[in-house]
Parts: sequence; structure tokens; C-alpha cells
Amino acid sequence: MKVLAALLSGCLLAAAAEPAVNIVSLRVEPAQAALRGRGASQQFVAMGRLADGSEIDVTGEATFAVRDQAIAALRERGRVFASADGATQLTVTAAGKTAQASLAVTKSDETKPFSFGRDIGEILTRRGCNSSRCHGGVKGQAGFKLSDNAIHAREDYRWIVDGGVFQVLSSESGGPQKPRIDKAAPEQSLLLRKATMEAPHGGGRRFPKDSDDYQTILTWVRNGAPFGEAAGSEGAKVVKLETFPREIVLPAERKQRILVTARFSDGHTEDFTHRVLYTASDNAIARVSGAGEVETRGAGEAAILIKAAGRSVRVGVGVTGPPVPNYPKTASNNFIDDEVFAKLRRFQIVPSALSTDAEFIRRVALDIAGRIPPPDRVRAFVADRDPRKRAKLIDALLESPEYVDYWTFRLSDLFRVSIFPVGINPKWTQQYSEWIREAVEQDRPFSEVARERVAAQGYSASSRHYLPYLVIPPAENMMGEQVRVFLGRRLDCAQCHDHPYEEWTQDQFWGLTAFFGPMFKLGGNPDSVIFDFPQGKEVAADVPTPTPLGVFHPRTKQKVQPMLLDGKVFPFEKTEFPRAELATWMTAHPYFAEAAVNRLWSNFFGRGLVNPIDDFRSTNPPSHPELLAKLAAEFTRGGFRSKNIIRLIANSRAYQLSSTPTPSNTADRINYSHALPRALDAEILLDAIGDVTGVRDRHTVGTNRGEWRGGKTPLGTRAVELKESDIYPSPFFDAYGRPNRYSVPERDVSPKLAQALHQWAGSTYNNRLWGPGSRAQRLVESGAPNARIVEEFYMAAFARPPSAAESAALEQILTAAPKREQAIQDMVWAIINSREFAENH
Amino acid sequence: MRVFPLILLAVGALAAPPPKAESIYPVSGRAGTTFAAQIRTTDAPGAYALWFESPGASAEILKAEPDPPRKNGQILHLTLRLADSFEQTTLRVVTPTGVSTPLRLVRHPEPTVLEAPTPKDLPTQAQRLPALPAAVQGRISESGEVDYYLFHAQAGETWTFETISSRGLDPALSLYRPGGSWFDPDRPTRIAFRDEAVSYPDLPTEAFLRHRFDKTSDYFIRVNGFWGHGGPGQEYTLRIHRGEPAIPAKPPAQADGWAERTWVRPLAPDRMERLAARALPASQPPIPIIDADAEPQTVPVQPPKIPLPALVVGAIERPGDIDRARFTAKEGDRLTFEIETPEKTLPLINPYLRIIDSDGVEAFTNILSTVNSNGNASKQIKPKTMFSFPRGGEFTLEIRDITAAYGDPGMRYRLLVRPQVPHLGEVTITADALNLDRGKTAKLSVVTDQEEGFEGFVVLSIDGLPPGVTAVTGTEVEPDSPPQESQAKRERFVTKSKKATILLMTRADAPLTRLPAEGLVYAQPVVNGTLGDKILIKKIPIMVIGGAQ
Repeated sequence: MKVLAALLSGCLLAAAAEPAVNIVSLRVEPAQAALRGRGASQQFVAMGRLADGSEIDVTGEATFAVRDQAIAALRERGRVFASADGATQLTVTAAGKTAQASLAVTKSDETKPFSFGRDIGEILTRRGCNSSRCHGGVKGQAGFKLSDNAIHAREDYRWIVDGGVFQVLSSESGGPQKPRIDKAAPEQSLLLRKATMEAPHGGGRRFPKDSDDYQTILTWVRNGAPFGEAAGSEGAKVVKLETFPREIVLPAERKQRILVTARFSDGHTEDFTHRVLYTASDNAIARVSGAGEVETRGAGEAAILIKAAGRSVRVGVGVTGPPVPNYPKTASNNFIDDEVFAKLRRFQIVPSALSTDAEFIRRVALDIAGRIPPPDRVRAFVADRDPRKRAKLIDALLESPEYVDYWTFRLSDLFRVSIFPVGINPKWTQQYSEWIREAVEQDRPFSEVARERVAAQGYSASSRHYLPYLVIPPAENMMGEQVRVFLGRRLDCAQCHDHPYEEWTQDQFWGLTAFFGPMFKLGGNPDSVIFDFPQGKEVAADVPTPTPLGVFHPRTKQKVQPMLLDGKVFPFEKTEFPRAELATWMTAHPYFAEAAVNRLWSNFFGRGLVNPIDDFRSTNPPSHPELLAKLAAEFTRGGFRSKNIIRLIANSRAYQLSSTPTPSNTADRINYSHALPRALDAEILLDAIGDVTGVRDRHTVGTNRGEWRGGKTPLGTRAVELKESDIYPSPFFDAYGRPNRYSVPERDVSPKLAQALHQWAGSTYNNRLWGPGSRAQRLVESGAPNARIVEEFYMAAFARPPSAAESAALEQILTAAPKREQAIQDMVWAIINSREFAENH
Repeated sequence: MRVFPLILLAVGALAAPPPKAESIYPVSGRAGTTFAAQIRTTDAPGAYALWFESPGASAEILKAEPDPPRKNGQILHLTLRLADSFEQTTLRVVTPTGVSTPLRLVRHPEPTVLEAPTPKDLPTQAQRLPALPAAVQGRISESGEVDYYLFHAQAGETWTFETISSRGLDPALSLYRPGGSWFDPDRPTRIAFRDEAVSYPDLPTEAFLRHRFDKTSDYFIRVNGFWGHGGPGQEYTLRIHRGEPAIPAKPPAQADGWAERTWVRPLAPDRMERLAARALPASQPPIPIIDADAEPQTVPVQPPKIPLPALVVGAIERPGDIDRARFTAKEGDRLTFEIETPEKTLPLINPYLRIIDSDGVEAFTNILSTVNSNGNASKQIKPKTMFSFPRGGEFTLEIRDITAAYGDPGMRYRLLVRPQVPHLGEVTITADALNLDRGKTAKLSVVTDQEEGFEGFVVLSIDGLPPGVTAVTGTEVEPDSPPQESQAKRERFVTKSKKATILLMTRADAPLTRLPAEGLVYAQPVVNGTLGDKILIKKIPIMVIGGAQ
């Protein structure tokens, strides 16, 4: 039989066509394979190397042969099945090249005991039954609920074998308990009739009656539908799915097979290529077959999401445009450039030229210090011939007090420095703001800052955000905020149900929330103190609080113990201060550094490597995963100090590229091929208007705290220095997207009608054009000629002199105007209303 | 037609509003000097003298001029003389309509520097201080104003900057290093900022900052009002000296200075004797002091046993630090647990006391839990807890910070465990001056706290009344009490109070007083018919003023 199978295989493979392209070498992936157990298999992929160093998948054109067919046999193209224990070799031939892989087969006579979670769960996953769009969705489908990705085998078993109608917020069945299998007449099982469309099924046919999957389920029902061995109960769980390749970059209309390897907790691996569900995120760019063969279509980037056995992984697919002849070499300043430019090269996107000095100085001053550079600094910088002048400028900006202002402002947004509508504890808010400022000033390790904020107690500066109003917010809100801010993840969906697209479960959500469950406020205003009930027990419970202390699972109604995402539990009775444990865990987790550097990165490029910056998830992968990992590693190695990363980013050539696009990068928005113009934040814009016109606002306190109402900021106070955003009411700030910081802020810098009205009629744009101290009046009174006035405003606003054409046109207007002062004001108005001024580019 | 004259009569009968002293500039003075000062008053026409509660100060009013923005506002210009012995005082303006509300004047030892009249809102406008130490007399005259001062400091010097401010000004201090920034050659770099952490009516709002200078250079110190607050009467003294910060303490509201339920009242070995002095004086042995930190107690197998009474002293030396001690109580014992936090106080230290019986069951704590009628729970930590033991045995006391995150050797506490001593507690008189109209009667309300089961009487008396004024007992109608919170063990934390009313009757022919008489209000406990010591509760300036004659 083995011989026959081998002959058949040989016949099948003999028909394979030769590759259409010339390859210079061939290799096979994996180069070594270990098959364990009866029926174990391994898919192989043949990769041919082209003359330019790139590789293509030639599996479809290759011939495969196993040396000792008594040990392993080929049954499908490139797929080998275990037959008997022993070692042998696989030989692959394509385009005249040959490559080999070694094969080892063990325990070939051992059959794994049946496991519902593994054997049935795998089918439900691979066939998409438990996907989030079907029965794995939040509400299930038609009353039938399966856990997404088969992560809760016990519950899946119950819904199939016992039946019942699923209800979202209850663990109880909502309808009659009708089993979805029929042990007396297994073929009549609803599970099979629906999947094969013998019974009407909204999800269509999932598999035919003659498929292995049908047989597996039928056999299981015939055998009495046991639960069997719990998945992983033998001690080995799938801890990770790995793929080959990790990323696919190909021109259109090419194919690449994906190999999926499951890594188990005991260290052994298994080929899961044919045991997973593949889904393409954008079929217009790439589509994928049920066996993991990707076919590229149109240019762009997409992802293949792979789900199996409670785990998921993604493979990015980049479909390149037409090759660029003589693709230029680009100098690299650091590893950021290595990663960015390597990807651009792979995608055949030519990066823009290096920015001009004028372009750079404005951009970097705004990005590091939130301020446009003064004209004298611009002139000196442009004239400077020092080849290291950019690096020196970056260092100077990092040491400026404006750096402290700007990053305090940025962190104050993120950390929500506000006095909140109730207006209590203004001094506490001031302390909070000063704590942030000090952290920026001293470049304190961000991990320390995060720990202090997450584990804040008492009347401490860092605990202010835990008492925005008169009572502590709900625990789930506090947890959600900290995870979003410091881990860049949004777990909110998992509050009511297992996350529909991610691995987050409802149990994980409430386990994390439980860390915040014992928090309480002691005392009143102003001596409020945040504390956690020691050991999770209410103190002074002689008059117990009406609401039971702790966090209760909404479905099971059971009190939840603090549990980390990795499942480690911190029982209250054994943990003095669980929230401190959470803070330590969070800041040591790889997510923390990734989220932090991603946030820093976004400040300089207008988007994160993961974007939105606080929405890391497998379906929203980083554009440059290796770069993100390297930045995170560098951040960690540098003691979590932000300045290191800022310096690294600002010194990269990628950051310093011009915003003027090349023909091949015009459409690129995610690969950093050129600088993307970004609207200035409200406060930065207002300060910039003040700098250009020479006229600044005095901000006025407008809080509901009567005794402070009407207080003005000191002369010269910049908008970026305002500690609490909510006490300085300003229609300008509102129109330009200042958040009130009552929840995790998201600045909205999109254009709005109110902005246009401000530009036309608002005092910000119209009352600063002329007056004592204004730049325009000073220049006129100093006797400056029109040419100088034009140049001065260009330098102040754009950090560049006007072009000859601009200068000529404006001088002509100013000279011809019947009222010179009015014409100058009109020019200033036009400058501060231009996009070039209102954007960082 | 009849209404009109009635209205006139009614208006004519209205008493003149009491005079108010709003602010004084400067707010402090150097002992042994004479200097010009101004006091802003309201409703104080014809002010003719200043009255000082403490010796060492005198004044001469030079002139009064209207202060137009304010109705009935005036500015008194005067000369103040402070004797060498002057420390601090409360002063009041004396007018034909009575004595004003008080102002505080304190001493500073440093040479005085008056702020220049020019703006000092920007570093470029800073006023140079010729030498340190100095006490700068300044004003934040309008909203948003800040005052920059430039001074020179040598490397290695440490200077203390602290404010003494008028009522209404909440100052903050910022220290800057000049030198400009890349963006702005005039921008200094802030190197320190201080403002008090807690803002609330009646809590001190002074700022202080102590800094060691690592470079010989000029520096700026900036004074500003919180959230840009400023305006008339917002005055400050900026003291710059080498010593430790010494924000002058507010004078106690009552002359006896007795405080029963604050975190900073001193708990000393003579506490029992002092308590007894507020009932029937009796000699009491000193209370032994137990050092709770003498032995490490991280894993207390057997905490030390303490006698009763005992004064346990210790510190929350590190986060999560718990100090424990054992004591024995008999059934029916009534004990009081008092806690003092001498260095830091709420909310910076929050001593949480638990008493646990021999079965490990919590008997009580020093936390008052309440649930109001809306179902909202609240917990407050208390410095004094009284408890009657329903059964005897050995108990363990635990003291820790309610947080698990804070602790340092400066978080010191003193815990006094003692038998209850029925005594007269705090006696509260809210009136702080009495301007008595001739031919009329005024009331003086006195609230006495009956601590720890004190069931005796309290004799109240006033000495020093002006001629023509007599004090008699009166009654007044109690306003309705607000509804109590639905649940609480209040009896452990709150004492019983009684309110008395003294009526001051002024004869129609009582002579007018030119300067206030000092009324001395005494309380004298009576226990089982025996009079205790006379306790001076309050000194009240009293004047007999015009009124109907």
C-alpha cells in the first residue's frame, strides 16, 4: 500500500510544470520536520531565489519525493504524512535546482485520545462556524453560541450537546434545551444537517457530507458525544502560532503558500497549515484559499488572519507596484531608516528627498517643543555649515524649557489633567500637573511614571485622576483607561462578551477590572484619600456599604479575583495591594514599551506604527513590526526614557524626509516615504498665531468655582502652558479640537465649519493683526520696507523666505494698496490662515 | 399715606453694619521698626484708633481716604511701630460704630524691601533685591499679576522662600534660572515650584520653597496668586532667609487652645492630668511611652504587650508598615484611643487603627462609616475613638496607613490608649467681637462639648464687661436639625454638646467706650456639686456704641 501511495504521488508530482522564472537556488521550508503521532502531517513550501535576491514560492511547480516511503508518504503537493517511526529525507526539485529537508517520525502508532476542544473545536474554527461573524459573535447566531476561536470548549460542548438559547448577559439558557445533536439518529443531528445545508442554514454550507470533517463529527455523535480529554489537559497547550513567511511582499498576481506551525507549551511543534481558518482582510489586494495559499491581486497592504485552537496570528501581505528602474540608494542614519527604507524598497516606493533646512527646523521645533522657530534661529541654522547641525539642534530643543512645556501638555492630555465639572480639589489637580511636569523635566522612566499612576493611592499627585468627581469611577472604566493608556489596547468590547475580533475574553476583562475593585475614597473634599480595602475586605464594615464590595462577573454573578491577562491570579486574601502588582506587571509587559514608543512615534509622523495609536490588535497590525519591536527594545534598554526615543526618531532620515512627494510615493500614507502635513493642535496653533502676530491672549478662568472665576493667566503665558484645559473656556480651542479630558482624550483636528467662521470673523485671527506690540506695527514703525516686512512674516510663519514670485506679488500689492497698514494686515491675515502655516509639514 | 413714615422709621432704626478691616499692607513688619501701613476697611467711618490684642505694637492713623470702587470702603494710612519684643498680634480698627473684624500682623526678622511700583510681570521687569536675607512687601493688585524678583545666590547656599499673605491671596512660588531658551532669550528656566497641596477654607494657603543653589548666579523668584487671582487687598510678604520655613501659626480660635478632635493636638504623658483639669483636677501619674518601632514587626508573632494607659509612638516607616501592640481590657471597660500626627496630617498621613480580639475578629476601628439616605456610603478616619468593651480579654491594636503605598520615617504618629475621662471638651464661641448698642440686648452663644460621658454642669461667666453692661442667662430657639445619615456608629466618634446663651444687656445710659474692653469668657466645670478650675475660653473685645439713648 505504501509503495502504491508513493507511486501515485510520484505520478501526481510528475505532472508539475516547471517554474516560469529562472531561479538561482532553491530551498525548502521547513528544512527539518518532526512528525509525531498517527496521521501527523507536514506541509512543505519550496522557495526559489531569484537573481535579485528575492524569493518566490515555487511549490506549485516543484516535484517532491520522499527517500524512505515506508516512513513518510506524500499524499498532496508538498504535504507528507507519517507512516512509521524513523528518519528520512524529502527532496524537492524545481527549475533544475534541488533542495532537501529532513524528516523524523515518532510515535506513529499512537493515536491521540479524543478531545472535543481539539478535534471538534478545530473543525468549528476551520470551517468558520465559531467566527465572530457567525456563532462566535457577541450574540451568537439564532440562539446558538460558540466561543470565538473555540477558546471555551466546555461552554461550546454544553451549547451543542445540551442545547438551549444563548442570552448575552446571562449564563442561563433563554429557551428550551434542545440538543443540537441526536445520539439516537446521529445523521439527523442539527449540527450536521445545518452545516451540510440539509436544513436551512443562514451560514450556508460549511462542509459536504463526504468530507473528513463530517465524518469526524458523525463518528463523535455515534460514540455518544463524549467531551473526552480537555484540550491541552495532557499538559501541552498551544501557546503560539507561527507562520512562514511572517510577511508577504509580492507583485500582483503571484502566489505564496503560508505554513502555520503551532508551538506547544511543552516545546514541541505541529504543522497546523491545514488545521486553521484563513481570512483575508481585503480581497481586492489578496485572497487566500482554505489551504493557506495567498494570491496577490491589486497594489496595497492587507492581512491574512489565521485562527486555530484558541490562538490567532496574522501575516501581512504587501502587493507592490510596478518595479522602479534604478531604485535609488538611500542613506541610513539609524535602524529606523534601515527598517523604513527596506520596506519602501520592497514595495518599490521611492522615498522623498531630505527636507530642506528650513523645512526641517520648523518641523522639528514644532514636534519637539511645540513652537515655531524664531526667524533669527532659522537664518542662523540655514547658514550653519556644520554637518552635525541637525543633531545639535535636536539636542538643543530637547534641553529647552519649551520641550518641558510641550510634553507636559501632551502627557496632560493623555493623563487627563482637569478639574472636572464639579470643580473640586483644584490644588490636587495642580499637584497632578506638576507631577507630570517634573517627570518630563527629569525625563523620568516612563515605566515609573506609569506605575505611580496605575498604583496611585492616598492624596498623591498621581492619584488625582482616580477621583474626577465626588466618587471613585466604576472599576471597569478605570481599568479600561489604564490599559488603553499604557498598553495601547481597548478591551471595552470584552466587558459584555468575549472580544469579537481579539483574544480578549470577558473573564480577562473582569479579572483585570478586579484589581480596581477594592478602591474607595476616604474622607471628603478636600482631604479625600484614595485607598484599596486591604485584602479586598471592607474596613470598618460595622456599617457596610449598600453595594457589595468587589467586582462581580456580569454573567456568572460571582465575585472576581484579580487576574492578569496571562491568567495569573492575585487572591485578595494573599495580596496586600493587588493594584501595585498589576502596575508592575503592566510596565514589564512587552505591550507597555510598544504602546509607549508607538505614541511617541505618532507625534513625529502624524500616525502610529499601529494606528490608531491605542488600538493594538491582531486585525490592526503595525505597519513596521520589526521597527516597532526594535524601538520598544531600545526604549526598554534605555530605561524607558522618552528623550532617547525622541532623539532617535528625530535624527532618523525617515523623519527628516521632505513633505514633497515623489511620483511613486504620492499615494503612500503609511510607509513614511515622505512627511505628511499635520494640522497643528489648537493650543500650538494659537501660540503660533501669537508668535507670528506678536499679540497673545490672556486666558481667563471660567470655572464654576466662584472664588477663582475671572483669574487671568500671567502675562506671556502660552496656551501650551495651561495646566487644566477645562477651566479656560475658549471657542477657538473648542473649534480646533481641544479635548476636555473628562475621558481618554482624542483630539479631533479635522476641519470644521466653526474654524472657517473663526478665520473670517473670530477675534483670534482678526484682532491681532495690528496694535501695540504687534509684529506688523513694530515693523512699520521701524520704517521697514515692504520687502523686509514680507520676508519677516514669512520667516516667522513658515520658517522660510518668500519665493521670488511670492515676494514680488506681495510687494506689488503692498505698494499699490491705498492704505499700506490695511494691506499689511490683510497679508498677515492671509499668512496665518494658510495651510502652510496651520500645518506641520 | 401712613406707610411712608413707617418705612422711614424702620430705616432709621437699622443698626449700622459692623465695621470690617479687610486687609493690611504690609502684612508683616520687622520688630523694632516704624513704618507706613495702610488698612482697607468697609463700613468703618471715623476710624480713630487701632486696638492690638497682644503687646508690642502701636499705631497712629494719619488719614483716611475713600476707596471708590467699594461701597463704604476706605483706606486708612497709618504709622505702625513695632517694639523689639513684638512677635505677632491681632489688630482691629476702632470706630464710633464699634470695633472691626480682626487682621493679623506678624513679625519678620529680615530687612524690609518694598516692592517697586513698576510692573514686575515679566522676567525683564524683575525688581532686583539688593541683598539677602530680605522680606519683600508686595501686592498682587490685579488678576493675572505676577511679581518677579531678581536676586543673587552663591553656589552652595541654601535659601528659604516663604510667604505671609493676606486673607484672600493664595500665593505660589516659582524659582527660575535666567539665561533664556533657544526660542526666547528672555525666558528663564523654572527650577522649582511650590504651592500648598490642599486648598480649602480655613486651611493655610502659604507657600514655601527651600532650595540649594548649585551655581553662583542671578535667579528669579516669582510670586503669583493661584489661578491668576489678584486684586485689592491681596498682599504678601516674601521672606527670603536661611532658616527652616516658619509659616506663622494661626492663633487658636479659643483662648484655651483646647482641641479635642484634631490630628495635631499634642498627646503627652500628662494628658490624663490635662483632661482631669477640665473636670475636677486630680493628680495623675504620667503615661508611659511605648516605642512601637523598637522591634521589627513585619511578621508579628507576639506583639509587645502594653499597660493602660499608654502612649504608643511610632511611624509608618515604609509602605504597608503595620505597628501592633497587645493590651488587656475588662468587660465594660470604656477606653479612648486618641491619635496625633505631629509632622504630617490628613490627607498626607491617614492612620488607620484596628482593634482585634483574641479570636482575630475586628472589634472596632477609628473609621466612621456612614450610609446616607440616598444609599451613598462614606468613610472618614477619626483622630479620637471611644469604645465600651462588651467583653473582656486580650486585644491587639494595629496601626497603619490606610493606603498601602505610602510610608516614610516622617509619617509619625502618637497613639494614646487610656481610660475615658469625663471632661469638658471644646467650648465654642463664634462671636469674635461685640459692639453693643446702648439700651439693647445682644446674645453670645456658647457650645460646650461634654466629652466621654461628662454629665456635670458648666458655669459660664464673663469678666471685664464695660460699665453699664450686664450678662444674664438667656434661651434661644434651636433651629431644626438636618436629618441624620441613616446608619453610623457615631457615638464612638462624636460627643454630646450643649448650647448656652448669654444675654448682654446694655443700659441706655451706659458710657460709650473709646477703646474696646477685653471681655474674658470663662467656663468652669461642676462635678457632683464641686466646682472645677475656671478655664478662660475666649477674649472678646467689647464696645458700647451709640445706639438709642
